[in-house]
Formats: sequence, C-alpha cells, structure tokens
Amino acid sequence: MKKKMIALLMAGVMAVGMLAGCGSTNRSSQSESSTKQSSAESETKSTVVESSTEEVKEEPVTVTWWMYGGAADEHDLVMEELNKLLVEKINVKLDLVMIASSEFDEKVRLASMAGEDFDLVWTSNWKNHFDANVSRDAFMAIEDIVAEYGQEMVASMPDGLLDVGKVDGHLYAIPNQQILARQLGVYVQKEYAEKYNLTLTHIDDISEMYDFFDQIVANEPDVWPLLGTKGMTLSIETEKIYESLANGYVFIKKDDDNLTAVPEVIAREELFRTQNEWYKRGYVQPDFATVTDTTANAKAGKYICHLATYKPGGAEEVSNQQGREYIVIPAGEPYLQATSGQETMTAVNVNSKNPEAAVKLLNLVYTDKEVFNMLLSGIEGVHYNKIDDTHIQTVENCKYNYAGNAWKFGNQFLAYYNPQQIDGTWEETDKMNRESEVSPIRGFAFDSTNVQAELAQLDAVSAEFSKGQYIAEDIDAWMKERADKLEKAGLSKVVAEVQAQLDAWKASK
Amino acid sequence: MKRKKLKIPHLKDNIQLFTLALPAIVLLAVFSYWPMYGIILAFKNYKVPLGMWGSPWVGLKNFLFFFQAQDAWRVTRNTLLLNFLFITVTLVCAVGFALLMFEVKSRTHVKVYQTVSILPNFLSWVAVSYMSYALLEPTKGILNRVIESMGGEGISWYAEPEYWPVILLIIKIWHGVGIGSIVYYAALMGVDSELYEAADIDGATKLQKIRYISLPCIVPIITIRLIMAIGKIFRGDFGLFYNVTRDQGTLYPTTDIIDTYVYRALMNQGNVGMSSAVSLFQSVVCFITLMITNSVVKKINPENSLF
Repeated sequence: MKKKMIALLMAGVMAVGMLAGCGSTNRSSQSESSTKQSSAESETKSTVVESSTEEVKEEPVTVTWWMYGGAADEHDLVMEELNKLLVEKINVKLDLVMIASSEFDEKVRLASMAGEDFDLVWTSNWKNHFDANVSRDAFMAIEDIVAEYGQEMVASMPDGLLDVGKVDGHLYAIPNQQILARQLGVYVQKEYAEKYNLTLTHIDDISEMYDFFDQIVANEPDVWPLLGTKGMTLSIETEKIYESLANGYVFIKKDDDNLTAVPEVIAREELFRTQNEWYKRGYVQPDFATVTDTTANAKAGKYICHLATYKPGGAEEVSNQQGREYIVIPAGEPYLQATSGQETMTAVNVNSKNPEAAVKLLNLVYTDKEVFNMLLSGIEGVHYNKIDDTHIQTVENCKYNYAGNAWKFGNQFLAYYNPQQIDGTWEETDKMNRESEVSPIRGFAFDSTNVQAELAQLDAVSAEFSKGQYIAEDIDAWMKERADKLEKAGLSKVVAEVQAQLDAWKASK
Repeated sequence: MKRKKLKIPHLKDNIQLFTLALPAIVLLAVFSYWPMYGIILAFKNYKVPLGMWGSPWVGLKNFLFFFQAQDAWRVTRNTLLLNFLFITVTLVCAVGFALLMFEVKSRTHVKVYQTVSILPNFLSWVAVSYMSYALLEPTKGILNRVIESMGGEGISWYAEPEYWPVILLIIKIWHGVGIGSIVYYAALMGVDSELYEAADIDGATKLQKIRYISLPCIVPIITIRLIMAIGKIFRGDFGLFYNVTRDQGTLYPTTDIIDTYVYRALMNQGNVGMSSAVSLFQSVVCFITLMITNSVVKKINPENSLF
C-alpha cells in the first residue's frame, strides 16, 4: 500500500513534468516564470499603445527593441512623441526596452531561449556575444530583408563593414557606426605633461615615454606614472605587430600574407616583459597585481597616464569623465582589424514576428537625423535647446538623455554635438575609419563551435594568471608556468583550428 | 519529520492531512520537479528556433569540458573540503550559540543578542566583500595598519592563498551563525522544563544539564540539518567565493570552487549545454551524498534519519 502511494505520487509528478515539457514546444506559452512575466508586461504595454491610435491608416506594427543601459525618467513621454513621428514616416511604432547593463546578457539569453518574440536586440563581441547567439541560432538571417528595406543604411557604411555581421555568408547583424579603426593612445594628465615638458605628439613604442615616467618616479612620491591594465588587451607592444583572433588566444602578424596562426604565449611575450619592467621600475603601483579596485585612486588623480583606445575627441571625453584635463598621445597607426565593427551591432531575433518592420525601423533610425536625435536627446524645448543646426545644449535637470548611447543605436555620426564635444569629431572619425590600414583577413570571422570546451578552459586558466606579470620576480618562470597551463588547457588545439579556418578562408578568396 | 506520517497507509483516514499537505506538494511539483525537464539541455546542442526538444542530441560531449579540465580536481577538492569545514564549524558554533542564548534568562537580552547576530545574514555578499576589503586591503586596510602599528609587517592578503580558507571560514560563520542558531534555540525552548527542574533537584551542574538534557533533545534536529547541509556539499556558495575573494587569480589555489570555475569558463560563451552539464553533475553527486549520509544515520539511529 505504501509503495502504491509513492508510485502514485511519482506518476503524478512525472505527468506534470511531461506536460511542462510539451508546453515548451509551443514556444511562447510556457517558459521560465521570470521571462513570462516580462513578456506579459510588454504585451499589455503594446496593446495599450495600439488601441490609442486606431484611426491611423493601416494598423502600425510595434517593433520591440532591446537595448542595454539605464532607462530615463521621461522615457515613455519621448517614446509617445517619437512614435507619432515614426508612424508618420514608416507606419511603425517603437517599443524601446532599456535593460540594466548587469542584467542584459542573462535576460536576453533567457528570453531568447524561451522563444520570446522581441524584434531587435543589441549585440557585440564583448556583451550579449554575437558568436554565442549565432551558434544557438538565436538571430535571424536578414540578408534578403536588408537588401529590400535597408539599402540606405548599407550605403552609408564604409567598405567591408557589413561583412563583420556575416557568418557563413548569411547576415545576422547590422554593425553600428562609431570609431572602427583601432589605435592605442596614452592619455596623460595635462598638468604633469606641462610640468615635465612632455612634448611627444606620437609614439611607436611605450619606451619613448620612460624618461617622463622616470622623472615622475623621482619627483612625485604620491602618484604613479602609469595605471596598468588588468586584461591583456591593451598593449602597444603586441598591437604593433599582431592582430588577435579567437578571444585573444591566437594572433596573426599584421603583414603576414601567409596567415600563420601564432599562439598568444608567443605574441604576448614582449608585452609581459614590458609590463614586468614597469613593475620593477616603479611605473605602476607596487601592489597593482592584487589591488582589486583602482577607481578611488583614479578619481584622486593618482595615475598620471593610462592606455586606452585613441579616437578623435578622445582627450576631451576623458577630461569630462575624470574631471581634470588630459592630453592624448596616439601610438602606432590606426588599423582596421578583421572584425572591427563587431563592438556594437543590432540583430533581429529569430522569433521576431515582424522582421521587415524591424529592419525598416532600424534603417530609419540609422539614416534619419531627426528620428535618431529625438531618440537620443528627447524633445526640443523640453529636453534640449538647439544652438544651431548641429549643436544642442541639454536643459538643466534633463529627464531624458540617451546621447551617451548614440554608438549603440545606429550611426553615431548623425548625432548633434553638445558643447563639450569638439567640432568635426564625427567627420574626422569617419575619415579615420575609411583611410586606416586594413587587416589582411578583414571579414574573416572565427567560428568557435569545434573548440568551445578548450576556449572555456583557456578562459578559466588565463584569469588565474591575470595581472601576475605585475608581481613576478622571475618573469621567465612565470611565463613558462602560464604557457604550460594554457597548453594543457588546449591552446595548440585552438591554434590549429584557427589555422585550418584561415587556410580555408584564404582558399575561398 | 512530517514525512513519516506518510507511512500511515490509509489515505482515506488521513484525507484532511493530505489536503493540508497539498499546497506544499503542488509547489514542490511546480518549482522543483517541473523545471527538471531542463536536464535534457545537458545532452543537447541548444538551438533557439528548434527549442529544447528539437535541438540535436550530442551525448556526453557537454560534460567533457569539465572533466578534461586540468583544474577539475583542484576545484572539486576545494569545494568539498571548504564546504566540509563550513558545515562542521558552523554547526558547532550555531549549537554553541543557541545553548548560550538558552542560558540567558532575560528576554530583552536574548532579543538583542539574536538581532545583532542575525543582522550580518541580511548583508549581500557584495556588501560583505567591500567590508572585508576595507579590513584586508594591503596598504590602507585596517588589519595591516594594526599589524604595522604593533611593529609587524603587513601581509598582502590578496596574494597569499594559504590564509583564505580561514578568512572565508570566519566570514561565513559571522554571516551565518545567528540565523543558524535560531532553529536550535527554538528546539531548546520546546524541551520539557520538568526535566531541568528534576535535574536541579538532583543537583546537576549547568554543564551536566547541557550534556544530558539539552544536547540529547536537539540531536534529531541537528542530524536533520546536517543531512541537509551535506546534501549540498557539492555546491559552493558562489556569492561568498566570487565576491569576497574579489576574483583574484592568485587566490584560486585555495578558493576556486566548481561554481566559480564554471562561471569564469563559460561567462564569455554563454554555452547553456555545458553549464547545464556541470550543474547536473553537481546535482547527481549531491543526491548520492545525501542518500549515503541518510542511510548512515539510519544505520546508527533510525529515529533521526530524514526518510
């Protein structure tokens, strides 16, 4: 009898489980409870909006666009106004959903796996990863739709930019336009640059600045010449010669037409030696390897220089952020990497019900100055005042400002300038994008499907050694230990895979 | 404990009890059994348009990533040993604290002590990580200042993995002992006061009363809590290990656990199959340890076993 009871219970539970399972094939019906709720919310929202404007010609389609970033206080107000404009122009409505940066990846992943039907979603090679999404088939192939409805935005792009959104010949995402060409720069506090007469306007090697650093070490006991970099991404030494692939585990030489894949342990050797030298010469704070938070020191101006990507208007941007004046010394030459442009893109969800309307809308935002700037800066007279055709001044206590998100929404170069920005920055950036040296493998995208396990292990191992070069007394021993562990984690397998794909890519050209 | 009532075989006679239990059973089914179909993800190469059932099977491929990892042994060892340490020490401290509380006769004092000791439990691990950082920061941290003022040499805590099992243990106990002791305190309150009165008449000392009355009375609840804790021994407290260590690579030798390793390895790729695989592996091992512990307890004293 007791056994029977248990059996009955089990059967019941299993039946419930089965029902649940079948439910999931009906896509939108059953899913994780959290996402279900949010979809319900957005549904009610869209129906409310639709019913209020029934008298308009044909029923406008609502396109849901998922973007990361904080929502502005008067988000709904601007959307209402913007939608009037959108309905008038293309008879489409926008439901822009702003999701906090820290939740974005998780939310998009769950919603997409649950089969939700949002339309547009922001993606990149560093957040809401494009590759991972494509390998899950989470994005729709949109080459045909774009050919029909997205001609203007494609025409506005520099050559080859659209290719970075392609995988196996299919277009899965539209790259946004911002700075594409990659060049590093050393940002220096102006006060110290003037005090020690730093007159360099361009460097090819960080060692050209060692004189300046030495003076600071000798004369300024309270500050450090350089803020080290936690990751290993920013390095003049490596970027001078190499371009990285496969999450930075494999490199190719920039001038190598044979396209030989080089493992990162070789490509980064010089970098590690240099950074170790900084540590030994006192250019970085002595406990940099174990300090986990540098923001307080940075705010207090304790680091005289830091490395970052160079772009026109960059020094002004950094000065505004940090609250003290900076100059920038560009290093090396601008270079268009194989996948430059993947840093910010917009994709269409595979479960979208209105892909045509979505692309139509994206095309409009991407090319129409009026729409784009209303999306960024809100309503004229309420949120900003126009100074002239291209310059605006936001009002005090502005409750709507997405201007900092311009690079995520389409074409940054259409944005109005605010008083802190330097005139001509967009034109200069666009020129840099179009004229810089181009990678020999521009358009090649590494497909990580076959080495996912290896990449996961490499990620785990390299984090363990992150910043270790800033504390190693014997850099050779440290590099050897790191190399051995990476090798065991499958580095050479990844290198071989990259090489095979490069060879195939070259053969297809 | 209530489960044992299920052993009474007559459904009809106990229809009221079953009706009472129904909401709990439904909740369990919805939140614990229903999502379990997600297990199949561990054996699939997930594709959004194909859904969970339609995605292609890949056998055990998703499991390989973890089992082939050179650090698999290290993180498994860390998870097991640190959790074992946490479970035993927290248990001793929580029971000890409850016994102490039980001896305090003033209600107001008990309330104050309990509130103070429970408070840390409501702090998120992120907040705790900043508090511990303020203590342990190598140059400006309070602890190093104290050491230096006494003539010692500061220790760069975030570079020395050997201290961390102890640091984490202290933080874990500080965080959890108050809330952990509540159950034991409640159990002690339920002990028949006549027992203590009788012991007083016989001239028993305080320690003897603890040894022969208090402890034996709460052994069943201790055992059950122990079995539950051991059932989770293969799952680390991600918040503690990730935030409080500030994800410092140098500390991995003693602080890297399965959960942090998997997070680090799969963060960039977001591979659902591989993370499900590791999670399933953890669940299966937890299930096995739970069964073993329970059967051991059953052998020793059938009264105290969970089922």
